Amino acid sequence: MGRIKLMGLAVSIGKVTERYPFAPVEVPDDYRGKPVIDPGICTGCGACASACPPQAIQVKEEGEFRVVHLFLGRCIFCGRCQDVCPEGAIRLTTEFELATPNHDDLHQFVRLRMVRCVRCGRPFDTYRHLVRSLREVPFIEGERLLLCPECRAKAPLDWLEGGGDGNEG
Amino acid sequence: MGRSTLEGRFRVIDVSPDEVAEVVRELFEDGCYYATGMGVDERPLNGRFAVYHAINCPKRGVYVILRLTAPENRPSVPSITPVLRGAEWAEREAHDMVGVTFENHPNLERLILPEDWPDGVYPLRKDFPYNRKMAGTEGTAGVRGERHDEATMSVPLGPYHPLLHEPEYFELYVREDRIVGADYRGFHVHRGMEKLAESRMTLNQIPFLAERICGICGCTHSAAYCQAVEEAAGVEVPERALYIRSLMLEVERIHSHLLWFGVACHLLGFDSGFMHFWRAREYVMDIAELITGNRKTYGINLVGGVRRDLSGEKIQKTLKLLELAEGESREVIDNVVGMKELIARMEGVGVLRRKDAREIGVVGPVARASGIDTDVRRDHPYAAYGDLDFKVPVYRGCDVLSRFLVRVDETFESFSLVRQILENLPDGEIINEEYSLPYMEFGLGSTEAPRGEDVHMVLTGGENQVYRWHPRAPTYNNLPAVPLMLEGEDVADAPIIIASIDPCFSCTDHVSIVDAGSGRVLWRGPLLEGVERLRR
Amino acid sequence: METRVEDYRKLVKRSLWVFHLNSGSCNGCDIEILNVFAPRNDVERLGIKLVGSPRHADAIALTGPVTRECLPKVVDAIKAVPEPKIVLAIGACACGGGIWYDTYSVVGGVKELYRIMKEEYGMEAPPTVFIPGCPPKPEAIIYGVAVAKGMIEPKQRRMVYVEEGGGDELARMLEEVNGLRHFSAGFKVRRDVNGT
Repeated sequence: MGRIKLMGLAVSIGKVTERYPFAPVEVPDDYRGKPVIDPGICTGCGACASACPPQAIQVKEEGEFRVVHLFLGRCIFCGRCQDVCPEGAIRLTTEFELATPNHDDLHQFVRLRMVRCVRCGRPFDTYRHLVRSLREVPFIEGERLLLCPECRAKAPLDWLEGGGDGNEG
Repeated sequence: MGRSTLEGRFRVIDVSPDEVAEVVRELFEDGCYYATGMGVDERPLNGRFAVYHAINCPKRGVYVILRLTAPENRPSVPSITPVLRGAEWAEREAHDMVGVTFENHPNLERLILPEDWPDGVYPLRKDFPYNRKMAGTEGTAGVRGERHDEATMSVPLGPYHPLLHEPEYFELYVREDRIVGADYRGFHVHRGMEKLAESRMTLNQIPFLAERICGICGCTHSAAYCQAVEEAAGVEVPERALYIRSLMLEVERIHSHLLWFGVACHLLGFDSGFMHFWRAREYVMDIAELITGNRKTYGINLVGGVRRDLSGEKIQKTLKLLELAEGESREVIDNVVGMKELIARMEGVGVLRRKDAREIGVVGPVARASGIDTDVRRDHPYAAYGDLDFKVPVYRGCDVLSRFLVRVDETFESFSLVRQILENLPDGEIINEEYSLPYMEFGLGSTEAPRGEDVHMVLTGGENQVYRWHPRAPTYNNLPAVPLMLEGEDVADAPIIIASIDPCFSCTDHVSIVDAGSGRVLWRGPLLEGVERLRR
Repeated sequence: METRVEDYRKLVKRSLWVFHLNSGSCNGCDIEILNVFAPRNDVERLGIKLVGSPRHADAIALTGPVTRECLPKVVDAIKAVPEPKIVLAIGACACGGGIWYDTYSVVGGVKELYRIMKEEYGMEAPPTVFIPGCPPKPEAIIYGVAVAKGMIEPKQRRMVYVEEGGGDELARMLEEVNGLRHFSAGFKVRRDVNGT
């Protein structure tokens, strides 16, 4: 008995199959799809990298550059990067059509220039992040931000006395 | 709310090795069963190894945690398996992963790690780096199976088999089409999560790791983890967050049960049923996508609350989808339950008697189908379940049909629960991020996953990390019952019997086992043999 | 690798028969693969079919990060699929190792798997289509299959951004840095060390 009823059910419901890939499908506005870094805004602070559970975003330093590397192949689309980004530079889009035969296509790199420490000359922070930090800390601290963390720790006092080799010309 | 609902969920008791067996026996006779156990390398703190046995006392609504320790130079404690069969795997796991020996354990052999893993290397000891790769493995499909007489044929099932959508290996011993015994080698899906959590991950990354223990019931794992940490750190969770958590847990239960009905129909050779159930299930997936932004991995739980709020518009859409899903599921289930052929394939098949069920400590629908009245949502209320109204279905048939019917009733209870939650959703915050993490505090979180009780134990560490995290998925407790259910049955019934516990292999293996079948059941010459032929 | 997928398309014009190979995944992707065969998406209308044996298959739907225990079995199953074959690497685990890409128990995705296959078994890497997602939506999997069959040109592209250096942009930023200083203690950011 049940079987005949079930057939009737199938007929009454009709066609449920979507036409995809020949017609697009709708996804909710806040679907968690492909994350994209807006390279114009990113300051390279690394908050996303430290929040990313699978380490799909990694921040590395290569000479003059700080490189924010997003590897889509490992991304789990959790959206924690979007939660923690202080600049709103990384967002999850609704894009889900990401398949590609080329592994290289799955990477996004943002290479940002770094500032050198005014004392030891080592690159230590991106310009953008430094500008951003200088805006937000009191001026006395702001001076110290031009030093790399090591130099900052080493000689906090003689900086205040106006010493240091960053003073010329 | 928040903390108060969890208050007194567990007691940690230090026991001496001499008295542990007696304590466990008394607890068992009092109606408690073995939930889970973990070994902990506490050498950096006190130079000792510890073993935590968690025993669930549903009558009292409390978990009793028995803590045993052993000195570094002689890591050995008495086994409780002779008293309580359910502890067998947990003790073997602790032996495998931490290197604690259990005296008088009947079968202290390797459980989780590959056969060719070097002896004396224990991944969960603190001196083992989480990313050390050991030498390559030569492949060890097979169990250290018992030998049988010539009339008995052994039928391998796996590691890749059309029935199993996960790599697992069962060996069935068959005489004239009857199964006389079965053995199991799982843990192909061991991914080293516990070690990963305590080394690379931070507190709020682990919910996402926990979610990936299982792709079907992930939300329940992340909720259990968050509860364990909230318990340890004394975090107040806003009420609205608790309701949203319950909402997603119930949505997950509906999707998981509908999935299982489909798979069960398929295994019984009734593919139309499979198609109809999965069609109805799509609406549930849409609900999940709408609320959380993904169909499967909801990513909604964080320690202290949830990540996404629910707008009025979403509630309205959800209610509409819910109506569709419920109506269509009801129609399909009514039809299927009325089909004599299907019922005949399930009735009296795969019997697990109540006594065995109690001793092994089976959980969830498997326990409830064997007449054991247990449900974590009712016995140890968590999230919003204390405020909600629901029935716990119990059947006494002990067979596959009972397990089917338990799930049918549960599905419709869940539809009602989702409605109750949406109607009574309290206002307020959705997350509390003002908490501090204590050092070496124990926490236990448990949830009723679609497959049964899911227990997570956590020892907090400093610096935004955990010191030890041990999840135990329901299949871990249910799987040892499968060989018992298989004995004396037709070979042709093996797939539905194995599927009747709704095994989740990846949960168990996270450690190691789930199957959702598709494809006819073929008792082909196994892949393994083909492989060996190729090698020669 | 791109050209090789194109070669494959030339060789295999018929419907794809797919063997589902789970190498230790969490089931999320596996259930979505099944979902693709359910009424809502029903890829059998495109001629795609799940088969029970690797020997019947044209393509492998590989999910999971390849656990250590599974490795030899996965290699054997890939070996058993007749040439020409194609691999659909489905989900974050298969594409890049996923959340556990570097643990002791995991090989870490198809790239690593192919390296081991080459080094230890002397096998060439089969052409592969990567389908990221955790898990990918059923539609994303269908899209991946369409890419494999050449029905759709993939739109995902490598993105590299390099911040302009030296010139005006840098000077502007340096000015901004200096402008933000609230006192003139004779300190200036040196151009020379930055300009290289």
